[in-house]
Amino acid sequence: MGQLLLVDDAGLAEPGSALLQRLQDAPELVAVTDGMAGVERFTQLVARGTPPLLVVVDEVLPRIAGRNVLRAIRAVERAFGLQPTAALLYASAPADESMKAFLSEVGRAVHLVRPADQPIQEQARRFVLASRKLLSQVRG
Amino acid sequence: MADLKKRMECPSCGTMVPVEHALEGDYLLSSCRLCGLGLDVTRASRALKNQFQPAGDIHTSSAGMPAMRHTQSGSMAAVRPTQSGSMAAVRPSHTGSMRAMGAADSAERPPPVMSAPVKQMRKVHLVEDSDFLRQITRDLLNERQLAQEIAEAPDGQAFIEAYTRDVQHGEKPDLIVLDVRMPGIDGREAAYAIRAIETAMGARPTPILFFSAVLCDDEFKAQLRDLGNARYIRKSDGGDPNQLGNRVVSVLERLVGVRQQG
Repeated sequence: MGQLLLVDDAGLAEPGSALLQRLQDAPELVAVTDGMAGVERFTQLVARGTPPLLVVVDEVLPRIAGRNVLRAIRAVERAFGLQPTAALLYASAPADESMKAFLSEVGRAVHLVRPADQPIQEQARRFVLASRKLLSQVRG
Repeated sequence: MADLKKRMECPSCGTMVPVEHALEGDYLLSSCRLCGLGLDVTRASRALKNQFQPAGDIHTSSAGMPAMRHTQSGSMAAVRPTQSGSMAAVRPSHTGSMRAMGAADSAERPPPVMSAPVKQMRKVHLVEDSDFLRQITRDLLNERQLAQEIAEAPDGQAFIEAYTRDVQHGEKPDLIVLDVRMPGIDGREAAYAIRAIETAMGARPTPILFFSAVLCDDEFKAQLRDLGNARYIRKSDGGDPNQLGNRVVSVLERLVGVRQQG
C-alpha cells in the first residue's frame, strides 16, 4: 500500500484524502501543514525504515519553502543511503528555467501547475490524478 | 560629551551585557558589545536613564527619543534631525559598536582574550558558503582552541546530510555555527530542518550560533525563540578580529558553556 506524504498549508489534505481513497491500491495519506513538519515526518518515516512512496509539496510553505523541503529531504536520503523518493512540487506558476534547474538538481521530481484560482476540490483532483500516475510508475 | 558604560539585557543575547553609550548633544547611541546588535534606544533609554549618573545632561531629540535607521552597511544607527530638517546618521565605528563621530575608541576596547580554554567543545559544524569567511571562522575557533573537531559545509544541503549522519551515529556536535544567507537552503531554513530531524530521531537540540552579516530584526528574533537554544552574532561588526573573537567566546560561554582562562 505505502504512504503518500503531503506537505501543504492550503487545505488540500481533506479533499485529497477523500479522492485518494477511491484509487486502486490507495496509499495512506500522511499530511502536514508546514515545511519543518514535512522534513520531520519524512525523517521519521525513513528512520523507521518505511520511506513514503511519493512526496507532494506545495511550493509556498511556512518555515521552510517547498523547494528547500525537497532539498532537505534529499539530504536526509543521502545520509541514510537511500535512493531519491519520487516527488511532486505543486506550484502556482508554470515551470520556468529556474524551476527546470531545480528539478534537475533534486532529481526524480516533477512540477505540477496548481490552479490556485480554482476551488480547492479542483486543486485536489489535479494533484490526485498526477499522484496516481506517479505511483503507478513507482510501483512499476 | 560623556561616555557611559552600563549593563542591560540585550534583546538578541538575552543576557545582561555591557552596553556602550555615547552622548553628544541629542545623540544617544547604543549597541550590544557581545553580539553587536544595535539596541532599540527608544525602549532601552527609558530603563537606562534611571541607571545613568552622567557627567553632563542626557539630551534627546525634540521628539523625546532618537529614531533608529539602517545604515548602508546593514547596521543600525541613531539619527537626529539637522537644522535643514533632514536626518543625519551617526556612522558605526570600525569596531562595530556605534558611537558619535570622534569618540575615543581605545579606552573602551576590552583586552584580547587569547589564553587556552578550560572547557573545549568536542565537535562543531561550521556552515558558510564563502570559502574565505569559512576559513576565518575556522581559524578563530582553532586559535581560541574552542573545538577539537570542526566539520565544514559550504551549503545547507551538505550540512543537513552531515548532521543527519552524525545524529544517526550518535556523534551529535556540541555546536552549529550557521551563516544566514546561503544559496539553496539558507541558514534559518537549515536550522528549522535540523530541529525537525532532531525531533524525528529523538535527539536533543544542538545549540546554534548564527554568525552572519544579516541584521537581527524582529522576525529573526522571533525565529531564534522559535528554534530554541540559538544565538546570533553579527560578523560584520568584527573589524577587530580580537574583539570579534572575544564576543564569540562570550556568547559561547552562555550557549555551550565554553570557558577561557584569564
